[in-house]
Amino acid sequence: MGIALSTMVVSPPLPEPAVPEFDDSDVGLVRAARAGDRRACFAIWSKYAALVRRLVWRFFGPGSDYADVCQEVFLRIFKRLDELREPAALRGFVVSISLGVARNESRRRRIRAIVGLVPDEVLPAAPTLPGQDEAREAARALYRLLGSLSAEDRSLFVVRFIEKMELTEVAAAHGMSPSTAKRRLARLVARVNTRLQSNPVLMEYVGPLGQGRDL
Amino acid sequence: MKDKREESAELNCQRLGELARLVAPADAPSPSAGQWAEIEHRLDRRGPSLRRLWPALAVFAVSILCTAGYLIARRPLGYRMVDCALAADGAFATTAMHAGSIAFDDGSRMSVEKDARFRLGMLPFGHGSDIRLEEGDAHLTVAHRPGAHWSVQAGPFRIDVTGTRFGVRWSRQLGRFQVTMLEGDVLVAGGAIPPATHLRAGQTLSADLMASSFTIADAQSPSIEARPAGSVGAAFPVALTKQNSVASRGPRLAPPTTSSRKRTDIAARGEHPAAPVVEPAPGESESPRAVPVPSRPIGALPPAIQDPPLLASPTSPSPAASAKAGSLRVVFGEAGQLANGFTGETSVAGGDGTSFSTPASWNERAPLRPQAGLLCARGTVAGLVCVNENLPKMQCNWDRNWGVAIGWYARADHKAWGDSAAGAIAVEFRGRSASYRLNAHRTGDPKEKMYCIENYKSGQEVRPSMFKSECWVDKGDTLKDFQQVDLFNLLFSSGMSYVAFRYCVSGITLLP
Repeated sequence: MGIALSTMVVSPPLPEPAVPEFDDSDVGLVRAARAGDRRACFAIWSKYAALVRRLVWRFFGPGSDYADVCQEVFLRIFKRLDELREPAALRGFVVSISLGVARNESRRRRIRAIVGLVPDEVLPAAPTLPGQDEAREAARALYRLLGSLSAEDRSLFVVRFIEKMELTEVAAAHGMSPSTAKRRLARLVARVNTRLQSNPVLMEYVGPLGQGRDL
Repeated sequence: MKDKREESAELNCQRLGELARLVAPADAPSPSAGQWAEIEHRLDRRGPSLRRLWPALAVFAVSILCTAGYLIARRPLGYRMVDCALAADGAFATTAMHAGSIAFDDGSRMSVEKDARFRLGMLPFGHGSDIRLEEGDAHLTVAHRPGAHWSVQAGPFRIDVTGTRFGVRWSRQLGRFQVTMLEGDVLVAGGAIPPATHLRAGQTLSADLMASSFTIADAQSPSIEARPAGSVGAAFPVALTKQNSVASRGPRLAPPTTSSRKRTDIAARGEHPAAPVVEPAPGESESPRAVPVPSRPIGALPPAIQDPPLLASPTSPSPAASAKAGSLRVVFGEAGQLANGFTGETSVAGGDGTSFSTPASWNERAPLRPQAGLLCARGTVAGLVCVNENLPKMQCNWDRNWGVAIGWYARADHKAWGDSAAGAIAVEFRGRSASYRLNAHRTGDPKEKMYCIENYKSGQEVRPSMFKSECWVDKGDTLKDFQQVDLFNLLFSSGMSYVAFRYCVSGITLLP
């Protein structure tokens, strides 16, 4: 017994398990990140990087270089984390900032295209739909059409028709009231359809769909 | 029908959304750890946010505002210039055909005659201007404002102005400078002019740089005009433009018989006695006489004053006295005893900086013996030693180095003149052009308290009411009568520089 006791005394202490000082909920992450905990920032990034990447990808279309945009989104999130009144609404905050950064980037690209610094917005690469040339061509035409819209209209289209968000979520993501969002969406639908009429590729692709044909 | 179209449009958008989901599916590639490393690196590199910087930004903004406000307030006075051309060297000049004018924003005006050159050095905060007159004539009307400072520099001469109207002329080639006062007063300095020489309205100062001399002329002498009818003013008719020559020595800043405290007060108020002016003695020319600045070793008298013409006859009555019935001519006895009006004895006294060559053996208590009927004193007076020169708090050793005085007691017992006192007195004297002061001491008063008349002129008939306790600023109490007076003296006071003196009292006349 005495030996055992002495052994226990002289043996080195076991390393403590790495227990995070915050819980994994959005509230816990936000509080820890606000306190300057870099691990909480990493946790936020891990949790929402896929969402951000998807939003940005869908905003600009596949094939576009959006890694820098995603980085900028998270830098903006961590910088403005103090502005988040309700830590539980972190997801909406992330979506809102992602769309905002994407809109800004879209405007910048458009200006650079106008002044001739870079070619017009990079069109999406061919969709990975083997054997479906029609769909590949339609996707190119779709993002060409989205590129002709304003940044805000494009953002509304992404969250409403690609992400299939509810009206309230759309309004919250764009910092507007639901009624305003509804009016903007109505105008957006009219605008898209107007341009759709003059786009034979998309008309050919959508027309049958509009007549009830499934993809 | 309308609803169906809208529904169709909505459906088209949904189909397009589905197309987009096909090409950009939800299972986008997962972010790599390298991307987080890049984000973390940029987070570390990112500087402090504006929120953290706002105190520094606020301080910076306030300092910018303060600097801007200071720069705005520091703006000099604006002005509008007419018929003045800017020369290549930065000076302004008028042509031979046109005179020019400048209107300053504070209401001050400057008119410049033809063929003049000047520069304007505008002072910050709109305080005024340092005008440098390089050539020609200018006339200034300076609006009086608190804190304003205007000055005119012409060659070595300088005029400091607070609010006045005057003309200034400067000829660089001839070295001649002239200031004509129309309103107010100014302080002039430079060349042979002593520092802070005070010019009043109506006076004209003319200086000759080559001859190192200057004169001050009164357009009209108020003190003479104020004399009662039938007084000495009639005997010494004064022209409207009465020229007084001024010695180019130091100014007579204060009477030597005044306490140093009073002088300090005077200096602190920035008041200075008027520039010394002396009336040429009867028989001498009344035209302006410029006196050269002594530039000789101490103790050596200039030839011009080695033997001044002293032609007075002590027995012959003065023009003033002869014109008045009942006047008495004081007799100088051989031992210095007085008779015929006074019964006391003559005396001479000097300050610490005064050295006498006449009388040869000087004793302040011994009577001054007349020589050829004249009470004479001759020697040198050291210059005053001053601190804070040209400043309002200027102080000099007046109380010790006060000059020289030829005096006489009214009575042999040195008591008050009493019932036998005259109603007026006229003292005749000769000597180099300088400022002389006639003093009267009232019995019972402290030794240093005197009533005086500044710039006393030979033969000038003066009454008790003309004696003032602060005559150098034309202020103070006046004497009621001569009955309480026990001593008179005629003072040659010290100046800012060493000076030789020789003057003689040639006669004293008492009038009823």
